[in-house]
Amino acid sequence: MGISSIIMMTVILGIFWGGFSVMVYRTITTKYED
Amino acid sequence: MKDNQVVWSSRIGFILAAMGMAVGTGNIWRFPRMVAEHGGGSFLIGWAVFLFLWSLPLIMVEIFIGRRTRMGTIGSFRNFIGEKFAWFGPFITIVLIGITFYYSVVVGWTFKYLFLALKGTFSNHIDSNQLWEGFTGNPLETVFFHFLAIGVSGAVVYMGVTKGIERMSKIFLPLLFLLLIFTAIRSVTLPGAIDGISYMFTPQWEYLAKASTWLEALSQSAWSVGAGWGLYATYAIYTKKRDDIAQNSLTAGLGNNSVELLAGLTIIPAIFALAPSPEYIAQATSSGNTGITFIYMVELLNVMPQTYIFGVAFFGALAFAAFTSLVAMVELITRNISDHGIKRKKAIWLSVILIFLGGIPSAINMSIFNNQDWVWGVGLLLSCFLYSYAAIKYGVERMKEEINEVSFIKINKMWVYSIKYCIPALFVIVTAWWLYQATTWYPDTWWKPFEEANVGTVVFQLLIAFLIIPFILRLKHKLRSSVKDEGLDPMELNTENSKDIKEGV
Repeated sequence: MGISSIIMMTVILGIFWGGFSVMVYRTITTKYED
Repeated sequence: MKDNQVVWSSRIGFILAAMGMAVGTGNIWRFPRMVAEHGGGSFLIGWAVFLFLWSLPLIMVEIFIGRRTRMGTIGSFRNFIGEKFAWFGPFITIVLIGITFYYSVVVGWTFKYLFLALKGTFSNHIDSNQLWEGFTGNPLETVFFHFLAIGVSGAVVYMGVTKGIERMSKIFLPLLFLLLIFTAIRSVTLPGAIDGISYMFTPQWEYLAKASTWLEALSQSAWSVGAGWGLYATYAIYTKKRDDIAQNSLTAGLGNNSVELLAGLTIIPAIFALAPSPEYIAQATSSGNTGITFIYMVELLNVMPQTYIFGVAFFGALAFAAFTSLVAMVELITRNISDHGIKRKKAIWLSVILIFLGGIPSAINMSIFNNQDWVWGVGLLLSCFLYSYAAIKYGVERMKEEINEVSFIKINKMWVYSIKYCIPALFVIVTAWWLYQATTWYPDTWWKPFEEANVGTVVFQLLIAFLIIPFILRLKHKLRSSVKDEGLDPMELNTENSKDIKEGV
């Protein structure tokens, strides 16, 4: 695997898997007032 | 909002239901094929960009309209931007119904292959091509599985929004993730899989210069995230008044793309690891959605270690993804029928019967199936444009402010530019490109209305859709008048329907 594919994999998985995990975590842990 | 208006029991319930709707067969069988055909990492760049430029802004618009109007797609546009634009709703609904007819057939196929996987059929070195041809060439079987798919989906909707759709999503979505994580891990750990991973993530710069890479990436985002179909708007009817629109949209969009990456990591490394030759890889990736899934993946299962478990997990994930999307489509059609004053219980029966009958031609004839897939795929692009136009008519800045009032993540000017300029411009470009492509598929008969996938058949069928719209609008008016004549307030009927949904009819 070349350096460009490693960078690309890190960026893409970071945005989508990382972003999705943060969003789900936030939804589950936030206490809503309504 | 009325006190007894039914709502999702939790925010995560809505998000899972919305993701269940968005994650469908397009994530699992189309995305890996597109990545492989259009330059691996180069395609991923376009696909990531268009989530933010096209799909996410449209999801937010849909959720905003659904929650504001608390009506199904047919009535929501009249309520939202006035009588002059009331036709947007019936058009979007007709496109969705057209898609549902053949999508129920697809769900039936996935059920059949899940049954075959559970029976252990794929462990017996079967001829995958013969199996597929034999199945699709047997109308009794395809119609039966189509019937099963729509019957089970109707049953979930019948159980109600919280007890049926939300509960189902809470079970199937986590299960879908687990199955795909398992299949992805199994694929990437096969000897030789590293070549597939490398291919999937390496940007091939020459592909970035090709218009087709970007246009296919946009089409993938438009068709797979499900924005502009009216489905987010329908599920948003049941959200609370102050639910976070931006965060819910972002979660659903990122979740949808996360599933696509898992599917890509399942299929692409497996093909690279198990394919006997580079020619075989090229054949597999250019064999169409059904080819790569039901023929090449089944063939590769023959030589894969732990065939049985992998087969059950892969086709299980595919079936769950397809099924949860079909449930959302049934809910959209049901909600529209019940908005006309018909009791929800009856509306579900009518939806199921309509979809079953409408799907039969696609179930028994692959040409009709391909034709419908093509026509309504183009129609869907117009639906997306209508949602963005509705936002422009309402006032994009005003909508932005109102979304930001209830959202933790604030949307900015970029969102405004996307709705006002990007989506309309991209709609014109991508639609023109697909129609141009179609003229090259049928250079001599591109204008004829009865070809499988040309310009003529799109124009012809969309014209029929436009001819039906006045009847739908008149029917709505007539039904509302008759309800008033009986001395009943239409809002009371909606309240009655809400009670039905809550109690599971």
